[in-house]
Amino acid sequence: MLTAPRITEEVDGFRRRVEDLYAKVQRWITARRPDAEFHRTQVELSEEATGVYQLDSLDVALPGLPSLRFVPRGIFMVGAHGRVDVRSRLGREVLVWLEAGEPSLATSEAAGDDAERIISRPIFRDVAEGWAWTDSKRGRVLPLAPEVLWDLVLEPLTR
Amino acid sequence: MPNPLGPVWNGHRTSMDAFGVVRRALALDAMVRAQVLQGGQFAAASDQQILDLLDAAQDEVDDQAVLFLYATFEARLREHIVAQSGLLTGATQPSAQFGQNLHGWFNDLCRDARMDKVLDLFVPSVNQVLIAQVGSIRKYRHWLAHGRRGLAVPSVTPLFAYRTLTSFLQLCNLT
Repeated sequence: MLTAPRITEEVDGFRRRVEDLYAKVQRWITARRPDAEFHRTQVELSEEATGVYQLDSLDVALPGLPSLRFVPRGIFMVGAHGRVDVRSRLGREVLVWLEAGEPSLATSEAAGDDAERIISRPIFRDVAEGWAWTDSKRGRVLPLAPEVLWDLVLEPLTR
Repeated sequence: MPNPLGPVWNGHRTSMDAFGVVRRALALDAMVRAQVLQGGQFAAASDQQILDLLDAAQDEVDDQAVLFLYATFEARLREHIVAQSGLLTGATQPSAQFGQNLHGWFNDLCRDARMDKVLDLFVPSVNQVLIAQVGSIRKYRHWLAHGRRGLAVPSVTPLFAYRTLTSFLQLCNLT
């Protein structure tokens, strides 16, 4: 487990990133569907590095369409620094927070950081820092933008 | 040389597509729906029961994909190392049999060696960051294989596992 200050740093950082995601999602959805309703529910997460902590999930109700739920899944994962799933009755899409940079494939690079930070480094080329949608069909990640959210994340989950 | 992880990855994608087909079948009218879902556990289940089963199964299949990707990756590395054992048969001191014995001994070592030691053999073709990421996939694989006991270790999605393990194999010219 991380030290107490690092746990606070990581959980607070993830909470800020998730809040940033929810704010964007609400703004982008409301711009097209002013009748959308949003509701939050607290969920509990537990990770080896941090122990147990709480975050909000975000429910989205779009009249006439299946309801959607954004659910935080964890901070630490290989290739990203946070994951939020988007679920509906039609399936699931995965959003991840990517750090800026390139895959560390150069043979000269040595690991000089703690394990959690090392494993979160990018594994895709040309990624910008921020939330991205993982496109499993094409084996790529795309930065989350209004059109990506609507056409590639929400459309398959609501139509 | 084809990527040995390709069939596992393609199988996972096909499974995900199949989940989507079942989810969409729930929206069909009752008669067609019954025909499509007949013969399995879905036939007598409510929509919500089916959706709960699918949600759980989808997460399970994701984790199984990571298990299989890592197992296939591990087999490919061990296979490559064992293939080098032929170099040892040329050792003829103190006798020609020594080389054969050494060859067999090395093969046994390769099968039993811990994977973290195996990964280190590929430095500097692969750097420490990628080795750490692969090591973390291995740790997640262990956590899954041992029943998800204790708090969750850093996770990996099938796509990221496929991408990371494929990068490792490519850098070592093993795909």
